[in-house]
Amino acid sequence: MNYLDFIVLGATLILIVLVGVWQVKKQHSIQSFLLGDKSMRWGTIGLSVMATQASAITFISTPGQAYESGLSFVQNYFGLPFALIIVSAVFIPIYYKLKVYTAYEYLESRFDIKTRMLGAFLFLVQRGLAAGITIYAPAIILSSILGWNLNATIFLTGISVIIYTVTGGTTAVSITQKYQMGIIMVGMFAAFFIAIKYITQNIPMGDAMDLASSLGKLNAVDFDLNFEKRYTIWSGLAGGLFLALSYFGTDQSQVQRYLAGKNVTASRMGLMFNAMFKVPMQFFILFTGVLVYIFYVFYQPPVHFKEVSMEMLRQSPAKEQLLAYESEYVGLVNKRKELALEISKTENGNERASLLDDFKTVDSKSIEVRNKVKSLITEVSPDTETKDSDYVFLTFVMNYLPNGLIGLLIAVILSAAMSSTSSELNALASTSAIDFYKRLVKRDANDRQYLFVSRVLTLFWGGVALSFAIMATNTENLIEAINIIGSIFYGTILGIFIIAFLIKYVKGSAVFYGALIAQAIVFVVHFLIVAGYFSLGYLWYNVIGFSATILFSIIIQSLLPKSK
Amino acid sequence: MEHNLSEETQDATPPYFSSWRPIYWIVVANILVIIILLQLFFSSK
Repeated sequence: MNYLDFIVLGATLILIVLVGVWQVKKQHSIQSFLLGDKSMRWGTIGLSVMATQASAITFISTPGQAYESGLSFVQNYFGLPFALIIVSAVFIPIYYKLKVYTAYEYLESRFDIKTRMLGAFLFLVQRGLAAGITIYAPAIILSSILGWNLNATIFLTGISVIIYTVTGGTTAVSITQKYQMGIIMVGMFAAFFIAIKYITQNIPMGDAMDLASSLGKLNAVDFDLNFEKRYTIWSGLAGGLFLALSYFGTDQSQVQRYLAGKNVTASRMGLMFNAMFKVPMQFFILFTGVLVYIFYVFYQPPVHFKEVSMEMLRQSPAKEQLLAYESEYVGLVNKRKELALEISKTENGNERASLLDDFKTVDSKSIEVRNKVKSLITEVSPDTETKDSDYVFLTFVMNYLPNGLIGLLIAVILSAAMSSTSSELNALASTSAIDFYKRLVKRDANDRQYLFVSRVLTLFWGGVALSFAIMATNTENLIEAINIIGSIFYGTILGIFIIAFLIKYVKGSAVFYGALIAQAIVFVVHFLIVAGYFSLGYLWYNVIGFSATILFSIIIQSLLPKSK
Repeated sequence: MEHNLSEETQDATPPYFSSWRPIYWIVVANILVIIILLQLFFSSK
């Protein structure tokens, strides 16, 4: 990074904070602070919803994921458009009719106060923990690649977000997200075209696609009805629908985004915008990752992308072994490059097919060497995470993008971290202000007091997120831990909402106790798995929590006297 | 419970898809076209 990068990065961050703080004038009531005076147009809502979902990890990890395993991850998003249609048709009209600030307010009008508190509480626990990780996860990758101080990086992102979220409220969140999405798209397109430019200096794009295809990197859709496969169209449609429905329908950080719409149509159109463009956007990011793979066919990649681990090996007794692997890898990569160039020159179909086979063989050998280095890392330091795909894209950016664009891409990562965090803080503050303070502590305060309390609570949750990020020690495991925590609670919350919408005869007490039992079951399952009694992927927690909530609520309702 | 609007809420719910709009069909068509295009151009041959 040179001065030009720092100017681009600094200017971008300052611009975002200023645009956010500028919204302070408009904040005169709790309605303006939490719902933006319900004045947002659909375009702003659409971008805001998209920016909330796309965290820094999306832009760091997704290209790396495609680098490793191709385009198949795109299938995970196939259920999303259908979920958004359901949210638009079912959830939005009800939230609007009841004029709610938070999704959980609806639970009180449909059931009772205790169910509302349960929903709000589950949200606060889950999001409160996740907000810290949203800041921490990109900070550790950036600090490791750029050599920045980890805590300084966390503070830079965290404090910037807190400043404009506290002063400008939900309007600031939505408006800054619009700019952040703009920066993100410009940055990603730049990286995309530069990868193409480098590749086409060696071979035409058509040949590059043949190479990618021969390695199976371009297999986007898999109709195989095999449940053990991680990504198929079936798991994408079913699992994606399920996850997106709970996320967009019941998670306050998303609900708040579209409730700021000026009317039902604006909110719906904002979600439909996402239903149309989310899959193409994810495809585009994944495709960039595939291009980075092909790029590294022609430009020597490191044998392992996580420089910290490489440095550790260089300082260890395994140094000699690493050097041997590195030279073996360089040889294989050179061989792979020669084959790729030869394929490009060969017209004859049969010859070309046999060269492509050789190319594939050499590529698998190079992957074997990469895996051997990973095993070496585990031997030397058993606790070190050996997955390096999160470092692939940023290594490419740092080494091959021109100065100025490097700064822009770092701004992309920080913007994405900020856009997700701002929605989370905004949502945590509104849930604690509306569902707890206004409902339980002080029901008859005036608007100024509620506005003040909402600001204080935003600051409070910002502090919680920052301290959590500072205290966190090991990223990879933490990200997984947060996903597990999310899955533990998501099923139950979705179950409560689905009963609210669809199973009309189930009332408050039944759903409350049904949800508690379901939550307890998920906890028990989780602890049995941790204790090693059996194994199950944590995504199944969602299904267990959801089914158990519905099942037990119905059973309890049928046991209760009719009037309850 | 003064906040209890449950009766009104329940009346307000179904029939959910009476509000089916052209945009929903466009979205469904969009994702189907995307899947078909991906299947045609980005799948193992």
